[in-house]
Amino acid sequence: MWELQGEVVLYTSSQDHNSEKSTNEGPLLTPEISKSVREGRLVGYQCLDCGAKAIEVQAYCAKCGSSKLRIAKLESRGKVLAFTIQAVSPKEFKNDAPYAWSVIELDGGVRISGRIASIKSPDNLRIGQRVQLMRSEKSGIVFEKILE
Amino acid sequence: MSLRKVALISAGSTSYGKSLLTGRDLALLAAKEALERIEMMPYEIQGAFIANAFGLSERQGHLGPLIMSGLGIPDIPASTIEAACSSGGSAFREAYINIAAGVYDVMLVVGTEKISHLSTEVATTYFTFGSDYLFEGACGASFPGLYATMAIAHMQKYETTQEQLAQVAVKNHENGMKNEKAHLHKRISVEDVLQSSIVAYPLKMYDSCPFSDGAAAVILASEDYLKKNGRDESISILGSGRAGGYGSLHSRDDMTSIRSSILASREAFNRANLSIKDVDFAEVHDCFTIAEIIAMEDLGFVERGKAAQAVEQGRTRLDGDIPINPSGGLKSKGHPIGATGIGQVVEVFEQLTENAGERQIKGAKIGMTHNVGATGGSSAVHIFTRS
Repeated sequence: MWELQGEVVLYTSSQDHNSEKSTNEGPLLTPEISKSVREGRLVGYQCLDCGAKAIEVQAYCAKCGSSKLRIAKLESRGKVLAFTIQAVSPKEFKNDAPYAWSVIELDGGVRISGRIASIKSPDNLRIGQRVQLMRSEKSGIVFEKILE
Repeated sequence: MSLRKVALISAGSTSYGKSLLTGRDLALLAAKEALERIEMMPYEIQGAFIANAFGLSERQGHLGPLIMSGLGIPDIPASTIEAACSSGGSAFREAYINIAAGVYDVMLVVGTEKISHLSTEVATTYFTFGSDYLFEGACGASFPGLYATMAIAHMQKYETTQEQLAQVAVKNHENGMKNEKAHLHKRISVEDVLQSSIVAYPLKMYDSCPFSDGAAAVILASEDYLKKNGRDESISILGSGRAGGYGSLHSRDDMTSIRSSILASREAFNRANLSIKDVDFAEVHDCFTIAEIIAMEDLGFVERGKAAQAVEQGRTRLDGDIPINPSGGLKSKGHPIGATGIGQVVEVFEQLTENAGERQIKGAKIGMTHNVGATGGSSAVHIFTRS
């Protein structure tokens, strides 16, 4: 049986990146997103023409096509829109399964996706559940349930 | 620019399942079958597209020259088209365009995939490379997980049930029983589906297509060339459509629909000057049971939220009024990624030339294929008729 060759790049593990910029104007690229997640916060882009906000790797606004984008802070709380409980996982997450992965709408309307910590069964998660971003211990974007 | 008429003149396929052969070997066998079926020599082929997604897992890229050399035509240009699970539909579309535009007269399209050398977990990881990896694969979502999330959204919005999803699998396995080249030959019940192990809640093993090896090949030609060379037209390609969409689920306003499918089918039907009501049967992209439900709604076979009911009523069975996936679909026939979209065209060829044996849909005149890349980042739709 062959194994996957080489390491899979999990962007939120500590890794060098060299795109530190003096201004926050310009396209939203992967290192900015990764760095913010590692630091326990979220950034997206905001269009300076139409005001649309989203978290995407993006050079032109998805809503109006403008290239005038700036990097903007996003809310770190939101609610679950839909989810799955991964029983069979990709190799990198084998020891974590079962776990929840979900699509989340952040307060303010921007949508994102990621794991929800400590959920092993669909009985422990519901659509509409309030969640907040965690500082990621391992890899990827991770949220946790909050009680409000 | 006006487009030339293009015909589908032959088709061939290996059996789908586990194979000791490489993707390259499988491609040669499928291409040879397509060539021999119409007694065509390889030198009539002027160009080729290869559909393949995970050749690098076999440590083999640049498959085109290897396959052309293996056919004895090393000078013929061939390049790989990769569009995740819609690599096949996309490669077919490119060949269609090349002939329609007058660049070539005869083209071969071969889809091939070899995945069984990988463990389930490693294969699952490879498939996540077709997601928006930053937000999906790298955060733990597998492909079953992404479609499971769409299933949850669909169940929430339309009250679709797990029992209804299971009906799709039961029907496709029933069709697969009648296809000797299908990966799975197993009649299953709703109960079997519901009791099978969970892959990604709410999807279970029998909601999911298998990991398959296999290859499929088709030959396309301009109708001008066929007339000049005294060959039969067999099947006409009436319409071709393709569209893109957001790669990630979270970028979409609606997770219960695949916009690229809607747009691709709209283009194909406009070009064909037909509507969905004219279609006698369809091979649709059912990588998971929920995918067939969503496809039926996006393509317009039924109203939104009504697909599950139509499946329950038996309308999509071979003897129903809208037969879907007579081949057994990805679910039962199998899903060798690069081959899948071409394999769908092979089934349309078999049906429209009355060679589908026990699964023949009597009197079928118009068939369509619908091939989705990943969770809808791209889709291809084609419409065919008997000449």
